[in-house]
Amino acid sequence: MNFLIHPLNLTSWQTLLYFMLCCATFASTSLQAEESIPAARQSNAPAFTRTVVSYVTPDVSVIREDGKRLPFLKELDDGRPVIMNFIFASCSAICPMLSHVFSKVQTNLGKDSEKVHMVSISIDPENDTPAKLTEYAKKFGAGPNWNYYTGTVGSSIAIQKAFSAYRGDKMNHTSLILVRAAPGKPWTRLEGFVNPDAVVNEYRTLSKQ
Amino acid sequence: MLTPFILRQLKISALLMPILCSTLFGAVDAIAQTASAPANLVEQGRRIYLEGIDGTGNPLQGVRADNARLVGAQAACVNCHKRSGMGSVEGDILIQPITGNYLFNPDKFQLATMDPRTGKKFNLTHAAYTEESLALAITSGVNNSGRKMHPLMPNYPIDKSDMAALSAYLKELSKEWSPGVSKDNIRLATVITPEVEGVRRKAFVDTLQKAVMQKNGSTLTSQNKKGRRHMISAAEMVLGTERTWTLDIWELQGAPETWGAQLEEKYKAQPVFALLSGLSNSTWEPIQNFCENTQVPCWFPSSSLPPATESFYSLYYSRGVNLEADVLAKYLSGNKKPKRVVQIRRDDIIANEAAKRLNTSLAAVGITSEDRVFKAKADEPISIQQVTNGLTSDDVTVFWLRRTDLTELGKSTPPPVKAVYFSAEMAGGEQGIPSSWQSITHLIYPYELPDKRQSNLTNFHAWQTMKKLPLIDEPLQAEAFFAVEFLTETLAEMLDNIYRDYLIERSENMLSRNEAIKSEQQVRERVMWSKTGSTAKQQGTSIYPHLGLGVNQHFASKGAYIVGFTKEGKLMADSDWIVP
Repeated sequence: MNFLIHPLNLTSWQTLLYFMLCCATFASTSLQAEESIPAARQSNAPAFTRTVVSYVTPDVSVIREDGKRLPFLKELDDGRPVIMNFIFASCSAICPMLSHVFSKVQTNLGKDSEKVHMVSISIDPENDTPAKLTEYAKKFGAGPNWNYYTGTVGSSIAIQKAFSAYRGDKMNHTSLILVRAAPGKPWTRLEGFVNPDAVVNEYRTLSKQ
Repeated sequence: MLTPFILRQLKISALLMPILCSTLFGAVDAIAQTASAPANLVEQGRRIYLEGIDGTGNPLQGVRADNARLVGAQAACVNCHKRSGMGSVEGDILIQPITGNYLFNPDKFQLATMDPRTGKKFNLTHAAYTEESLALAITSGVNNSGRKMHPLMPNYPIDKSDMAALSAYLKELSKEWSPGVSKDNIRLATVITPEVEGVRRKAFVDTLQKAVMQKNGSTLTSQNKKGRRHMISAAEMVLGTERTWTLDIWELQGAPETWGAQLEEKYKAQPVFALLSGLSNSTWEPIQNFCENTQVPCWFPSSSLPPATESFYSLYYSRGVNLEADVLAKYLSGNKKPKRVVQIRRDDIIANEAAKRLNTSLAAVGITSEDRVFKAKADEPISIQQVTNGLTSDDVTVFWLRRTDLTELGKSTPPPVKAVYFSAEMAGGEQGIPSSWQSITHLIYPYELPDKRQSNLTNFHAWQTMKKLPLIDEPLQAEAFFAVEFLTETLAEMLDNIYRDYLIERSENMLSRNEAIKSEQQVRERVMWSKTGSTAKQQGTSIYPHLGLGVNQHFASKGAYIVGFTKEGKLMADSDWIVP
């Protein structure tokens, strides 16, 4: 909210109404702070949800970490199983965790990692240039089947929206991993604090079906 | 008094007042109650916290709930809890403040705004930590209310010595308000370098001073009982933590090599919390260095040449002419590559750096370029005839010139070239482009296009008209205005936690979100309150299409358009938004 420079002349009752609205917001949020603690805080068991959803891959153009501009549709629907997440390079808490999980998944997949396409989409595309993503990929030991994608703000938002991952701003993003056995099949959505074993198990289960 | 009246009305006083009162009256004496620990212990703690190195010099080790092992810098507390120790917010994860004030003094419960967009807006209350309960939390992940902490928080099997060191460091961290801050005032300064044209200097100072005056006028303090609350933050409004500002103007003299010493002298005479905005037609490096060395935030100066080196304390709108050079090279490389690019400039530091950068970027895409420099001294007018020798219709020319020189150019006919490019950054937008040149002229344009940005700048224009401030240089004045507004909002959200590191961290975290929230809000207000208000969509509140920062991401706008003119003299985009 910004009222520093208000070009409008508020009458006193209008001002009062604003005050009250603000107070009401303050009161309700303060009270909520005392409410229940999320399940994740209470137990050691990784807290994540699993849902199965079908998504339509958007037909936008993306830029891979090697600088190549490519149709996202072709990259995602090339026949390989896909494990996908959303990250940005300057994110300090969630993304390192997500990327760490991906790195473990890559290792734990063993030989299967050669068959799977691991996909990391930048949600801060103007800052995450191909060079920055290459550097980031290196930090997490990304192999040849783990690609990073950037593009325009528009294409990144289109992809995020297509997979119900758009939260309005990069700083609002939450932890999400998507797994799909093959093009045309539904996606498994793992949300929350997902451990690498759960991702690998998900992939193995899906690929047997 | 209005505030207690409303609290009564909302029947929340019983629950809220103890928190509010203790915060209101407790914040000051909560500070500095603990005796200072030996410096070497604090230093040992600092290395654990910032670098992830334990007391024996080995990398710190942490284990997360998923058994992931974090080692060294990856395991350092600073990653999540930040330099200030004030924590942060990422998505739905609230990372709590862990400074000594917050851990050990909960009786004086201090409030920190976590995220204005989530319901759980403030840090959680908790019983006071003791050395023992803090050690248990860090080694086993169980907090002092007996709960497992968030799975992102690793367990650290650290020994007693490291634990004592970390605790000593936390007690020192953000212990007191930063220099330049008092209970009801914050001292700021704005830096102006000596070569700035008088007209722009005046427009800049007038804009900045009037905006600060407006901000102070609406800040309710014991001195200003008639102030009207900004209501930027509901918590701020109730807690009354907002302060007035004092703005010093720091005019530098002489050569850039002497600026560092001048800044240090001014700072020594009168410490300031931060440098607000700023204006230069020259290098900004000495100012950035001063900010970094003195740990003073350097808040969105209007500089065309921010240093490329990373810094924690400096925030910029964009990379200035370096960005423009990269954008133009990218545009020319994709668009029927010209045979030759001729760069024309005065011998001044910004133009020289811009040309150097463009030469490098053009070489990288295989375009030949040539430099031509006006012989005129700084106070002499330029003469186009000096630089047009041998130009043909195959050539593309790039003029790195300021607006004062454009007037001079307009007296001559344009050279017989394919296209002419100007820097909007240096020319201060499109206003100065001579109309006789428009048919072959393009601009590298780091701002939002005029028709789109009008709604973004509605409030700025309304204010500037109301204050009878002439619009001399729209980008400059809009930038100065934005700097004041965003600082007002960020400081208000910080409540009573006025620490420099925290200011930078919050703005890294909040800028893009804040812009989205504010845009929505301003459109809604226009619709709600104004009979004639425009309902046009708004993407931000600055002259740029969108702004965003992040950790070590201190250039808020990352691209530019290439624009030309229609026959009617209106600006039109030749390209999409280009991010090099």
